[in-house]
Amino acid sequence: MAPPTAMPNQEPSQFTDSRVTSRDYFWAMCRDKVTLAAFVFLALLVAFTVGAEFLAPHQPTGLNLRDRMLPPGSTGSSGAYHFLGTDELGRDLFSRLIYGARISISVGLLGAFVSCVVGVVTGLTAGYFGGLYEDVIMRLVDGMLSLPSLLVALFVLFVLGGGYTNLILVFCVLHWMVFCRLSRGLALDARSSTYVQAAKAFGAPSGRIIFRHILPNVMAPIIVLLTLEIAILILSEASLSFLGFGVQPPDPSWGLMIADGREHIRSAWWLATFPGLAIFLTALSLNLVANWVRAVTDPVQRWRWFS
Amino acid sequence: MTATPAVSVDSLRVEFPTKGGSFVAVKDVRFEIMPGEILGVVGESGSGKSVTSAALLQLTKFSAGRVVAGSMRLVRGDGSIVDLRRSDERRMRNVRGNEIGMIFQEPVIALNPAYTIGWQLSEGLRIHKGLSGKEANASALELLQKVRISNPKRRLKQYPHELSGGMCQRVVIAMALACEPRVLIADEPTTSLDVTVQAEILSLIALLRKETGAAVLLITHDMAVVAQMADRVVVMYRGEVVEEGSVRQILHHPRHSYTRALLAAVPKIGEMTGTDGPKRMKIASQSGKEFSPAVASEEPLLEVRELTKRFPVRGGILRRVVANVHAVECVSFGVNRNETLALVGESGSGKSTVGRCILRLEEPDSGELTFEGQNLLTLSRAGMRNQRRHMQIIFQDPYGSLNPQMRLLDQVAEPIRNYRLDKGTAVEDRVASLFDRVGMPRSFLRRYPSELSGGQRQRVAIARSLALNPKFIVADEAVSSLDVSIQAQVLNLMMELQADLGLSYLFISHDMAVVERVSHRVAVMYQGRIVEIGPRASVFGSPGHQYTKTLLAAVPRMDPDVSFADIEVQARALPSPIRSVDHQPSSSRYREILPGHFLLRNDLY
Repeated sequence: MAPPTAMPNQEPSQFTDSRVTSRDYFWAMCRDKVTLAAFVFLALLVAFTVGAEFLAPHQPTGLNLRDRMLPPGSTGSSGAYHFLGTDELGRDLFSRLIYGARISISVGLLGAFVSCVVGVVTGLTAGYFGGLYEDVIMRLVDGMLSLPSLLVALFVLFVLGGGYTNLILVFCVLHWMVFCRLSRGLALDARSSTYVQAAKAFGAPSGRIIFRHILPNVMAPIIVLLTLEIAILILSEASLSFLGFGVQPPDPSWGLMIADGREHIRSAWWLATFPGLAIFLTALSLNLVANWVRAVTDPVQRWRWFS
Repeated sequence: MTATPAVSVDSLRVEFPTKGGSFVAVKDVRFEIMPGEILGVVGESGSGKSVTSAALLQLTKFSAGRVVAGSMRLVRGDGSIVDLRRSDERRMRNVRGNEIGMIFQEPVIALNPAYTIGWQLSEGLRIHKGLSGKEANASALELLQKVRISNPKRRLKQYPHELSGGMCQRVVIAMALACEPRVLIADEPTTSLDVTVQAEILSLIALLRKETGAAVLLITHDMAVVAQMADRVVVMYRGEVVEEGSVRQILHHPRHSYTRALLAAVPKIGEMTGTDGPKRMKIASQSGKEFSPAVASEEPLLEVRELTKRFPVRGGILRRVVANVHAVECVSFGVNRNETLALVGESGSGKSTVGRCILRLEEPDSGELTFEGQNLLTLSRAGMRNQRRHMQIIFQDPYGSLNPQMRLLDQVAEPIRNYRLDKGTAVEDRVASLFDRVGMPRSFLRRYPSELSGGQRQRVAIARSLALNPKFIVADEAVSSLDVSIQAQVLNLMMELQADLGLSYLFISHDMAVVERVSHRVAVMYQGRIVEIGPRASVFGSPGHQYTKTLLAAVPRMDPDVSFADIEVQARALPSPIRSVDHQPSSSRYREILPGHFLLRNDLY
């Protein structure tokens, strides 16, 4: 006997108004404590990123050679309190973390967003139109996906020089393919759906079909991927900056801070630990939120979250 | 046969928690099934009939439903009684399969695609009966023979995707029978099957009931199926039992007004004998106004000549074409102004592909399409786009054909905006009058499709296809997914619109009874070809082709005196429409047997 996989064909959602409002999302979020914590962490992070000037207790690049390598919770010579201690040049670690978040987060956000736009546009059009255009794009994707991305990033940044803009460009070149593959698959699926056939029969132009009809209906998995990609890009930014090819000193970035702290890991453990923790918590929170978004946007299992 | 019922259900109540409090899906339901009896439970979607059967097996909890009141008792073979409501999961596992067998609606989904038929059949035997591998295999073969599957030995080693839907359903029935259950629940067992296969499966169930003496709970929306299968009938409406009685009593002397309305809404095959044109359904029309269906003109509107469409089957690393699916093969017909031509056939006959080729949603491989004297196949993309203003399509699935993310207003306005027929508030006025036309309240303009029922969605889809004032509409199974009462309303709406606006329909359907009701002429498709075409009265009255006769014989009648037992039980294998690349089929040749009534002369493969 097969397990009773086929459900009775009447789901509760059929009986009631199944539209989900933002309020439902809010309550569903509140009920899931772990996701709520992740969400609060990300919200705080964004607040600190935006309001770094007002929220950071000290200047991130303010040297103070008398207060070098103070441990967390100590008070400096001028009476300033250093919550997370100071680094080898006497700069306040907490303030540097906050300004570093600004760079890490914005590189992650911008890089992921730009690659998302590029990937989704190419992917949806490839999947919708098919033919030679699709073949060319998809073989290009196959080829680029088989490049060792860290190596390419190192090489390109070595030639072009590191820094903020170049970093985002390199991330975009190396990450649009995943979005492209995903959205091509979604478009292939949507292309045969009846509402797309209907739109065609009503004389809707192709651009309208792709972006007005298909895109809103395939948004959910794309948003999940976007969230995951932000986490991946924050991690890659950290590795590249750690290797010296990303953000250049004296700008603070989490990866760069770990690189600086490495030399003093025996004497001043906090220098590498706190930026590492920040990266870990950010990536973890993004993954948790992505997982939650995937679950609540899945029409098959979302009733579990809203009932 | 004993006097104690095999299953008795009393004051059953099932609730589902929702956002706005709990929803009562089943309320105060009571019935009994005697051993060896078929109890038919009929009702439309949302009537709670499936929830009731799921509650019997405690399956509702997987979709969050709770049995809050009532009792469900099962009498075992040894006379002991099991309380199905209070049994724990371990006991239920024993009951499912061992005591109560279940036949699902979608046989292809109910089978696990990763294992062979033999493995899946013997699995239950090994678990429930503790048979060894060899013994289990032997009795699996026996079971397949019992359900009269062709070539049972070979089937054991096959995977579900290698079998047709009808054969899969036979396997599911074999699985349900594996442990000789005393009760069999069949939840819409034939709804997803073709009508000829449906007849085979139903006669098999009737036969097995006789052989095993099991009590059968048959859940269906189809009054005709119940009429021919059931001994007693329970009619459900909105979670409640509105009427219960013997099948003759329900059919001939229904007491409840809902039962009467349901029976009136069912098109009955054969009731149109002696008439030529379509006839409206015997229900109050939505607009409350009477109309007489259109009379077809003699003036041709659409001419299809030798239309052929093949789908390539690709294989190998280089994705070369290794074979072709001959979906549509040399199909010719014409549609006159104000006429409904029905295209009937079973799944895979190519009828939908014909409709899509006419609108060039699918590019035909060869043939000629003439619409109002204009050759459609030579038109450019832009030319075709212009032409689509005059020819529209209504799809089968009203859940799929509306974009879930757009307001109804925007969806119906879209064709108007695409062709820039109107601007600004004029668009909105036009949409509002279209809503009036199809009997939808204007207050729905700003709602989303998910807030609508199936019938309302199909009305919106019809409004949308009318937005461009077309002359010709392809209705691709436009009413097949709707409940009978809604189906009757939509059919009346379509006929009313035809009479008022002078529309022509290509009515694609598998339902012979509906086709008989609405069409002027009928074309029967089989294996990609039209095997018979002619005036409706002539095709239904004196069918010439063997396939048409089979099709008509398989349609369930609303008559408890006609039984399924006379129909051939052996599953027949459909010839495959997949042909090698160099296969060149002959073109279709016809002979006229009655005025305007043509028969295919070719041998089919």
